[in-house]
Amino acid sequence: MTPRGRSLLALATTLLVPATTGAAAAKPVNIGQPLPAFEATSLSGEAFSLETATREHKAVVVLFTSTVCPYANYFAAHVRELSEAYGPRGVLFVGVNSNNWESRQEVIDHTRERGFAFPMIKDEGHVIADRLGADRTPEAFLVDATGRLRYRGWVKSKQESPDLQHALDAVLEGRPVRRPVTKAFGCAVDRY
Amino acid sequence: MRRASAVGTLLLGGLMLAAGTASAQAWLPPKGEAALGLGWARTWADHHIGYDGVGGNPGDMTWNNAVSDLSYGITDRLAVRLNIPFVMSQYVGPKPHPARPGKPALDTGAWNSAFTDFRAEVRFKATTGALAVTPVVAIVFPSHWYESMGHSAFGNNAVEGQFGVSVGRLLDPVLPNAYLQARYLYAVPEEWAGIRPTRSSAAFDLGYFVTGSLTVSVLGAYTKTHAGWRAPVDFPPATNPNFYNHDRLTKHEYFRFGGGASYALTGSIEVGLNYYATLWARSDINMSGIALSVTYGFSPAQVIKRNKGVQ
Repeated sequence: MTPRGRSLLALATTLLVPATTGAAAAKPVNIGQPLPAFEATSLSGEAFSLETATREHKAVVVLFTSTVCPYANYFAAHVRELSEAYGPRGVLFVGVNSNNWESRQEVIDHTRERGFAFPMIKDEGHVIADRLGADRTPEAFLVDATGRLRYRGWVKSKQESPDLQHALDAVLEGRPVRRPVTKAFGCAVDRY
Repeated sequence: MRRASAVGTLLLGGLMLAAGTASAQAWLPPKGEAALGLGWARTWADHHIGYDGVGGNPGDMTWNNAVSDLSYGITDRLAVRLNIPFVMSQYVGPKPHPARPGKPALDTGAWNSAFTDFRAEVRFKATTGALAVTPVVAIVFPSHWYESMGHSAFGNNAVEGQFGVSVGRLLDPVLPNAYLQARYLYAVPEEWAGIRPTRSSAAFDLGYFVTGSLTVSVLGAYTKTHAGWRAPVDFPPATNPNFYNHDRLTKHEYFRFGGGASYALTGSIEVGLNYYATLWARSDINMSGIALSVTYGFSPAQVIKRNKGVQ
C-alpha cells in the first residue's frame, strides 16, 4: 500500500482513548529524563504506546500539531519529509492534536491533505499535552530508544534552522544534541 | 556653525526600532500568521557634523519614538506590514531654529509630539533554498502635516517610495547557531526646490542564538543621500523660503553601529533591546539610541476558530 493509501485508510479511524488521566499541565521534562509514557488509539484505529514505540525504534518524535496554526502548516512539508527520510532509519513520528476546538474529522482531513503517513492522535481533553507539558504547535519531543528526552522545541527556527533534524542525526549517530532545547513558537495548545 | 539637519536620521531610528519589533526581514511570517509589535526608542544627539567632518554643538536633541507595527503573511511567500511612529521630541540649547511663518516653534526647550508617517510594506520571498532573497516595496506617507524643520523635528513630512531587497542565510556549518541578513533600500522621496533627495540605505544584522530563547545580534546601517545640500555650506539663508526645506534636503551620509538582544518569553511573545551609535557621519548628527520592543505573534484564523468552537 502506498503512503497515500495508508493515509486514506487513516480516515477510518476511531476516537482517541487516552490511557492517561493527568489533568494539570506537567512541569517540563528535563533533557535526559524519561518522557512520561502515554497510550492512545490513533486516528487509524491502531493502539499506540510510547513505551512500546521507544523499545521498537531508535528514536520517536512526538509532534504536537494543529490544522489551522500557520507555523504548524508551514513546517508540515518538512515534517513529512523528515518522517519519510528517517522512518527507514528507525525513527517513528507520531502526531498529536490537542486543541479542544479542532474536531477529529478536521484532523483526519488535515492528515490526509498534508500527506502524513505516521500515526496521528486526537488528544481529547489535552491529556497528553498536559502530561508532557506541551505548550505550542508545532512542538517536537524527541526521545531515544531508552525513552529519555533528547530534544524539545521547534521543528525549525524562524530562520529555518533545522534543529529537529540536527537532533535526530545526533541521536542516531550517538552524539550529544548540540542544542537540545529550543523555544517552540507558533500557536498555543488550546485548552479552552 | 549653521544649523544642520537632524530629521533624516530619525528614519534610521525608525528602521532600527522596526528591526526589533518584527521578525527577521529576509524571512517572512507564514500564511495566516500575524505579528503585532510595540516599540519604544529613545534617541539623542548633541553634535552636528558638517559635510567636511567638522562638528559643532548646538545643544541637546532628544526623541522618544513609540512605534506600533503590524505584519501578516498573505501566503508563505508574500507578507505585508504597516507601522506608524508617534514621536516626542525636545531641543534644549542656545541655537533654536526660527518658527516657520504661521506655525509654532519646535525648538523651545519644551517637548513636542506628533504621529508622523505611515509606512506600508510588501515583501516577497523569491527563493526557497538556504539563501532567503526577499524583494521589498514600501510607501511612506505622512499621517498629517507636521513640522519637518528644526533640531527637534519629527520627520521629513514627505511621501516616499522605497524599493529594495533583503537577503538572509544561516551560517551553518561555518558558524553554527548564527545567521546573517542584510538589506538594501533605495528611497525616492517627493521633490522640493527642484531637488529629489534620493538615498541608498544598507543594513546588516548578524545574529547568534545563545540559547533556544535568547538571540544576540550585531547591527549596522549605512545611509547615503544622493542629492541635496551639504550641511551647512549649501543651506539657504533664513530669509529664503527654501530655508524651511533645508532639513529634508540635507545630503546625509552616516554609518551607525550597534547591537541587540531578543528573548522569547513565550512561544508568542518576544522582547528585544537594541542600542546603536554613530561611528561616522557627514552632514548629519551624532545620534545614538536605544530601542525596546515587544512582539506578539498570533493566528487570526485560530482566534476566530477558537471563538466559534468545534463545528
